[in-house]
Amino acid sequence: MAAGLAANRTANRFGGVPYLVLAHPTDETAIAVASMLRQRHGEFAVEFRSPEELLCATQWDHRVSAAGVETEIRMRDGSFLAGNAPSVIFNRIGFVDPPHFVTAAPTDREYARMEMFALLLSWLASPGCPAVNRPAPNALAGGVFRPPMWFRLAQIAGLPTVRLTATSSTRRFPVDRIAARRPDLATVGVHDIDGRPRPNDFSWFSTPIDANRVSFLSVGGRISEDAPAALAEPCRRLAQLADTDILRVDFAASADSPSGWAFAGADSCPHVDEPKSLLRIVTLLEAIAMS
Amino acid sequence: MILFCGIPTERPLALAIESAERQGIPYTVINQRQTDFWELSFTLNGAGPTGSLWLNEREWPLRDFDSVYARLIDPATLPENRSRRSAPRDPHARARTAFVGEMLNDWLDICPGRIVNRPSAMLSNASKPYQAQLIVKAGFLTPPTLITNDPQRVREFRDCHGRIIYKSCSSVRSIVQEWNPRDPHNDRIRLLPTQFQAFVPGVNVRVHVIGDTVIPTEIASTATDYRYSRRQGSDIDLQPAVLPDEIEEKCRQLTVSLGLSFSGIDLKRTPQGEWYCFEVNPSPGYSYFEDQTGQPIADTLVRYLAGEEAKCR
Repeated sequence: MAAGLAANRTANRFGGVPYLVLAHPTDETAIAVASMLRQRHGEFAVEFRSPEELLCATQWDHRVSAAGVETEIRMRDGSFLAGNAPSVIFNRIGFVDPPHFVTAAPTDREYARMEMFALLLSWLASPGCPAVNRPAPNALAGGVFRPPMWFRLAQIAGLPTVRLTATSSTRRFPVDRIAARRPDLATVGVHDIDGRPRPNDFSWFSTPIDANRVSFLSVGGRISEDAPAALAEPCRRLAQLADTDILRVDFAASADSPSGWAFAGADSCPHVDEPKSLLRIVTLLEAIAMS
Repeated sequence: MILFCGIPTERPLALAIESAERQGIPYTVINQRQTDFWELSFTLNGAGPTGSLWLNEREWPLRDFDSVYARLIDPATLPENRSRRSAPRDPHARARTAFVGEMLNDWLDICPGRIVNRPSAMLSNASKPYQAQLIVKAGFLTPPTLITNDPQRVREFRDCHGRIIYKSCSSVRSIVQEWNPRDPHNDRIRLLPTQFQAFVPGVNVRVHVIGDTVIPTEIASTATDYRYSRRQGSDIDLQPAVLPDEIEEKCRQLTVSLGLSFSGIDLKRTPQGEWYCFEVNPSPGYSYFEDQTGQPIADTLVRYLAGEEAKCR
């Protein structure tokens, strides 16, 4: 439907490029989405930019006042980013590292990272710039939480979860003997130091996670058709709680859960390669672009 | 029971602890510089987080803590975690400190009760222009702001607004300075977009909001950044102030809209009677204002943590 309607449309009503894709040049999901959009709307309806191109823009002009937000970004090739008026941005950039500060002193490099993050967050969050996913103050591509927060949100959404425990001392607070160590849930752990467990350990633990996994994708509030009914609505609620248009929800097989599955994690910037799922993302972007 | 977390000698935390002691409100203190002397464990299951704190030779169920006031700093910056010239820090101790800090923040984000403030709610301050958009939504004026890497655009912005200042765009603390068009280093902004703002004349007012209570302080200073008045060769005088009801209510709503229960809001009242909001600090170092004016900020905070609401000015 959209292909026929928009085959000849390259610029939106504001003269901008309708679809702006921000992603690393190797991001296969972004490449596939951009390619599908080009097939449906024409080569010039889509602009694909890498974080490096964005960070090295020759002119940033971002204005915020009580009257609103205006942004003008001139790229190295002399063009304005997406003609200064993209209809929708498919953003896959979570964090940035300005390339011209890579060799700077660590404090200067960190300062540059934080400043550019602050600028991009303000730009991507501005009302005239609908981004998918909406950015969050802790990640530009939206909805990135620490695992305990994901698990709490999942519980609030009504999803069954595995039992998670964190302890600063396994001597003072012994964990269940069958519990599995989960170094993946912390940014630091004993194993990062010398690779061997100690009698008195600090770590995250969970009920053992089955290797049998499934994932369901939430796109614009719609869940993968193959999701069991008992999980579909809670998955949708989780995406809503996380304020994400796109969210992959991961489950591990669990004998304790009535559905047979327990929440194991979520990703708001998932790798997607299945054509049906890619089409759902494209359709969401089209709906936003045309609204 | 109130749980205080941080470095107990740090003035804002110290004032709060003293206040709890004076008011006879039960509390206990986690000292971030003594992570070897306390242990924490919590479990997340369907009923929410449950767990225990081992402190002062006894176990405290986490559910006993109705409220928390946390002023945690990055564990890497603690003196005991910094490398010394000839004595590298014990990597195990350093990793444990980092783990415990992360774990404590995780718990603060998901536990029930009055948490001042939840770590995830404090993030809007990571981008001043992003926060400015939220400030505008709450009904305040914000100064016209330009973030650019183009010196010509800065000159045009100055021509438009007269005096302009510059400061960091992120949460990195910077000294607000007036932009000088003759500064030979002005072209350095080509390396990194920089935030410029129209200079707003008027009187600075710092507003501390604690629950429903609003405590405004007026700051008389001619310095561009009153926090550095003496360094900028200016005197400073702080006095308790009174806000118009409408502004007071906006301060409350702004605090709530950011998910905070304690905030330090930087306002400026212009000679024309307009109110501009510059920033909301989610972890205000209120002690400076209390020490100078005697305003009961710590007492109000502690009463809030104890579950009481007491309006005062």
